[in-house]
Amino acid sequence: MTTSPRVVLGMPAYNRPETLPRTLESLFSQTCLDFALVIVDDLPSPEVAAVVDRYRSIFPRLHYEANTTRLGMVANWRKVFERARALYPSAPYFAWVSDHDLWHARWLEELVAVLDAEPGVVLAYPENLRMLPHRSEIARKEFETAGVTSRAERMRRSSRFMLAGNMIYGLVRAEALAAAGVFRAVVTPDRQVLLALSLFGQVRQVPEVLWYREILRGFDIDRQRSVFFPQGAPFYVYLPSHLQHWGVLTWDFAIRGRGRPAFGRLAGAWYAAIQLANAVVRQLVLPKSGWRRALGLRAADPSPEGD
Amino acid sequence: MSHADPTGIPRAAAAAPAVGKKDAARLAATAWARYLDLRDRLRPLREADRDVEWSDREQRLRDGLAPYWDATPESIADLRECGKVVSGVRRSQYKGERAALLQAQLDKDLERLLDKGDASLLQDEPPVLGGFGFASLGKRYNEDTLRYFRVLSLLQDAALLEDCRRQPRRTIWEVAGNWGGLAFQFHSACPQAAYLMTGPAELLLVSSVYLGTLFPDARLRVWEPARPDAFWHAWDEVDFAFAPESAVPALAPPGLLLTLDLGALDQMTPARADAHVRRAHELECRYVFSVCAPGQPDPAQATAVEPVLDRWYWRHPVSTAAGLAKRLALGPARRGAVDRTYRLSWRRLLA
Repeated sequence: MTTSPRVVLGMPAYNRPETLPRTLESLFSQTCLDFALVIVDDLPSPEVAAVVDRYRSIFPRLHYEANTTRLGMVANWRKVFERARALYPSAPYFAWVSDHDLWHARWLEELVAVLDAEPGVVLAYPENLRMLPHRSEIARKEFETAGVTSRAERMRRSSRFMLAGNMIYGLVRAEALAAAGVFRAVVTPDRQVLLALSLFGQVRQVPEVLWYREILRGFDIDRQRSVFFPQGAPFYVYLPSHLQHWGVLTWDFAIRGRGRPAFGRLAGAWYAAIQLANAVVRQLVLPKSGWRRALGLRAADPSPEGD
Repeated sequence: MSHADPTGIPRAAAAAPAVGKKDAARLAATAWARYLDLRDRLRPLREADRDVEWSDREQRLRDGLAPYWDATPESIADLRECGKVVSGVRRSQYKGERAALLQAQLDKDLERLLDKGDASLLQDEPPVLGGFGFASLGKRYNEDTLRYFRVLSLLQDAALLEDCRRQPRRTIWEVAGNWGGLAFQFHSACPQAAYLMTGPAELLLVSSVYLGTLFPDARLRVWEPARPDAFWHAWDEVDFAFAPESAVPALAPPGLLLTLDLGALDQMTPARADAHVRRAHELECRYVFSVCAPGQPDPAQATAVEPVLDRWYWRHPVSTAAGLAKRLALGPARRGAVDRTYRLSWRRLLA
């Protein structure tokens, strides 16, 4: 009988056979190999399948599943998590991994050590090196809520200062992620789920560059709508993203009471209000906020989606 | 920032601050004793490498260092002079009126490097064995100092220095390890790791004497052609180890983590370069960090290494922040030159 690994890595794949071998090798070269890798392919091709087949021999805990119909990014990210939970329900930790990024060999070891040592932390993530089309650079951006025990304060800080694109590929407690609602059908769903996650625990940043993040293009909300919802975007995703996030938080925690037993509906409504207020402030001061772009006050920059 | 006083004389003396007379004499005596011992142990390595097909540049290097086989106590006391043969950095550049110009340029580099890197990694040019350089921003340095600091900074950015400090003890392999300058800085940053150098015996001679003098308690080991297996015995007791190139196919250092190449592979034939990288791969060395020689990148020379690396390792991005991206060589930078200048590579699992 095989024992369950402690970590499941979920890879939502989308037609990157040229980057996949190097990406897989950076995962299979981890100093901590106590993980399984679940790949759900949203645009299956013989090339990707062949790459995966090649690596099965050196890493048996590799699961590959091809979608018969394209789900879109949001649904595929959800499916990856659900498959991971179904295959390894007792694995306490989970992380999404892309089919094109790279990870330092100590990435998983360091993040597991944080979650093992700090029960109050629900997400650990490292610094990253941005692999841009013509150069690579370390952009040191610090954000963590380690030591902050107040949910309201964690929500406030997350709403104002969090860098979702840097954090969403961190290692999370699977139970907390499930409670937070995984990915929802909104724009910048990574930000939304991380906001919800802030209600269940703290975030710790590991001060080492252990993740190499490919960034091919800047943030583009129109592109998000088409990529996330290939069958057509629902009407509400044309609302400002912070309103969408507030709506989901309110629905989940104020109306449905999904925060119980940790916190009740009234508290859920309060946290959602904190999110909305601080997200509005963030939108007003953020250099690359939507209103600045709309007024042409901000040139396109290579900041990645989700940031 | 001003780099010279109103008279135009460089602010810092060209020579690094002298150590006291007594200390200098003691160090010179230590260096001479080290030299006599190491010379005798390293001589047989010349014979062991008799079949190596050195390139013209390597042969010139060997010829330039050959006098050290018959050195005097005075030339060993001034060992850093060998740098002009190995890296092209000459003490004479740090003296006289033209030194102000060089200092202005290097001060800018230093400032940029310190701005992006961890200043605690920068080891001053030691004022012994004829060490020389400028003094600025509280540092004493020359061009080589900055170059090696840049290597350490990049390794730190790549989170590799931390790996080198961990247990079980790691081995670092420097291919054709220059005059010992990188080894000095690396050992200062990661004293836990064993440092293996291979290459022409002449380079090993100057490196070993330099390191043995700077680190008098360091444990040095030299390859013995008659007893190759003994080289790996009790490896935990080794700080620096020196082996000829002919030993590369038989290298078996425990815990090899990182292979460093500061322009040596570029000078080899593809077959010799391949033998080095292949051996690193066979030894499950996770990383190869390779840098072009000063004055590079020259695509005609650099291209020989890339296919070799690509066969055994994944070339990998390094942090190349704007402005500093191409500065390691401290020479003219060109757009697109970065990948040829720095090559941090991760081991392929399916090579």
